[in-house]
Amino acid sequence: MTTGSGEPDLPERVAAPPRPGERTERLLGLLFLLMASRHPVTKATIRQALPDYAASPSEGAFERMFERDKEELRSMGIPIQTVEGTQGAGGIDGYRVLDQEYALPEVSFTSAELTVLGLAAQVWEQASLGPAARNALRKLEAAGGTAREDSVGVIARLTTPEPSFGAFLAASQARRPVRFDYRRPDEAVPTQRHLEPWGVVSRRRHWYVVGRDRDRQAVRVFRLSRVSGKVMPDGPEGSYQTPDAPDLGALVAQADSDSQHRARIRVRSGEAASLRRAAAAVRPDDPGWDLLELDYGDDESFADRLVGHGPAVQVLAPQALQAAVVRRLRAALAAARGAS
Amino acid sequence: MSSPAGAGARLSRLLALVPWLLSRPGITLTEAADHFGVTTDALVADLDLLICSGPGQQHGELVDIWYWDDGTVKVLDPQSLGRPLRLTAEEAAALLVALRVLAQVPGGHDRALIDSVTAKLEDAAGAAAAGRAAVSVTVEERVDPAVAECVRRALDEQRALHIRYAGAARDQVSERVVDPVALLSVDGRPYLSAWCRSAGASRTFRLDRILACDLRDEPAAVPAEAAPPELGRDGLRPAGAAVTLDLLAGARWVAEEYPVDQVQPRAGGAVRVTLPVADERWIVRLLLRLGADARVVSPPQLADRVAAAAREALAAYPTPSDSEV
Repeated sequence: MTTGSGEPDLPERVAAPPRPGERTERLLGLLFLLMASRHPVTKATIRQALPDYAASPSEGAFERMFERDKEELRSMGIPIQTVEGTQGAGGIDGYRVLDQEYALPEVSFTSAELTVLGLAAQVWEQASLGPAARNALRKLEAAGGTAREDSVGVIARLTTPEPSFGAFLAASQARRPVRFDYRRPDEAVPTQRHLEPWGVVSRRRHWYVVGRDRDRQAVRVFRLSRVSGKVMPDGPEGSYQTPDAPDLGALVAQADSDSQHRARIRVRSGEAASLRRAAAAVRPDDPGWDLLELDYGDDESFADRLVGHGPAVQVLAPQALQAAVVRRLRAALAAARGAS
Repeated sequence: MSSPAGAGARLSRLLALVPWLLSRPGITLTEAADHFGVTTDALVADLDLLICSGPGQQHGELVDIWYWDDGTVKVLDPQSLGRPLRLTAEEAAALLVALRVLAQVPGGHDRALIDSVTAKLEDAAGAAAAGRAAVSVTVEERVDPAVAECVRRALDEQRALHIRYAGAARDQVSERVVDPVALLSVDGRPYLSAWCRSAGASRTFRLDRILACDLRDEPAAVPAEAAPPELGRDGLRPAGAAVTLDLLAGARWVAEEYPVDQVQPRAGGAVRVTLPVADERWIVRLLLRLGADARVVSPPQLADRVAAAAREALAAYPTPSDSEV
């Protein structure tokens, strides 16, 4: 049996090599200290109170250690207040954590609701928000009850294969400008871009970041799979405003073309099911063939879609679309001959 | 912009652990360790650290927890850690976005329940709930409501289904009898995971490609050997023969769009990729589309198939000069 009510055992730290867990212990000590007092605690008090700080060889070493620890606690979401000029002693800053700002408000979930939360946490299971979702679930379960793991016949997953996802999301939430290298598919080398990110969007199985491009002075959309290298901070947090409730999904969708043209194509019976579903009209043509009318936006991108059907699809009109398909078929033939 | 690791991650666990144990007096060490995904030894190390901590070092100023190595845990005095830490913007966004995705999955699951969870979570998250605005998941695949309802009933009543399915590989419609297992949504796209009697194997069907759906008057019979639904992008990748292509700059999107096993840079900005191909007709369609931007490396007979398809297709159009083809 072990109990915490025994003699506190404070190891001698001055000469001891760092051991795993020591920093956690120090962070926990700092948190208790900042939560314990109604009054803000000055750095001098903090340095005396925690053995690691007291043992630091210089004021500068202590300052660096303390700043790092303070940032670590803040990055976990611990609301450390900086109170300027406490104790009337002319400009000495103090720090504190108020209980009502620290604690999750009272909330309780039914067993069925916890199961839904469990399913929600699993959505990110294989993605970069997985640890955040699990942490959140543990906090919400603290009030009692546990998510049951029985299936309700619906399973959802989001994947984030792009390593830049977390950086763009964090920067968007903190309103922090970023810079990154970006390579468009038609460019051989990446170029550096400067962005005020508003948020990330999943559309048709790709992630995008939307924001204000500082070089172009306009709203731009970037596909995360085309970002190369690291996303770097490019300014302080909170240094720009995001529009009120921007429809990020709509901004990404705008990149897609509209329907302005109508094509007439012949399709072999039983083939090209996807074109048939998209067609405005389908009627029988010669035996073995159907005639389809389809609305589309851009000749070149619609030709990309048609050409794959090979001999099962023939473009009758318009002429520009037919020419685009023929050009592609000739290129494919030449490439295939070169390869074989 | 850093991820919690090491000391920070452990402290997060400690802060969640105390209130969690507090509301479950007498829970076993094993259960608690399982729940937090750590070994019993790691949990005991966490408890050892906690009981040496507090606002002071005097009796009554330390966290007090009773625990036995093979027994139960009870928090006697949590000090100021009795309540869990507030949700961060990232944590709130993770759960709120996931709830919205679950609500958007077609099917008849309990949306009122998802709404009530969302409302409570928004209240509890407070200002952090605004973090959700930075993530948007577009669910745009058009699913026939009749198909969604039919699939939902089949799952509820555990009945077999007859479907007309527009497969992507051949772009042809097939008729199949399937035994439904679950509805999946991966990156906003809905799927039915089922045992396909025609194929004699587990298959994943895109809901927006199910053209018609009929319930059959027989119970679903998923064989015991059927693989469980595979989730995530890798679960949906095709199994099949490896095809190797050289992609020029104009075709590099292929490596982004489809699951590829290897990407090697080549001279002149090209890349060499190897990808699994379940159906040859699919890769022939892709190569027709890529035209001059792609070259077949292997298998060589694939290039012959592409050439034959292109020649046959071109025969339908007037040719400015025969020598060109």
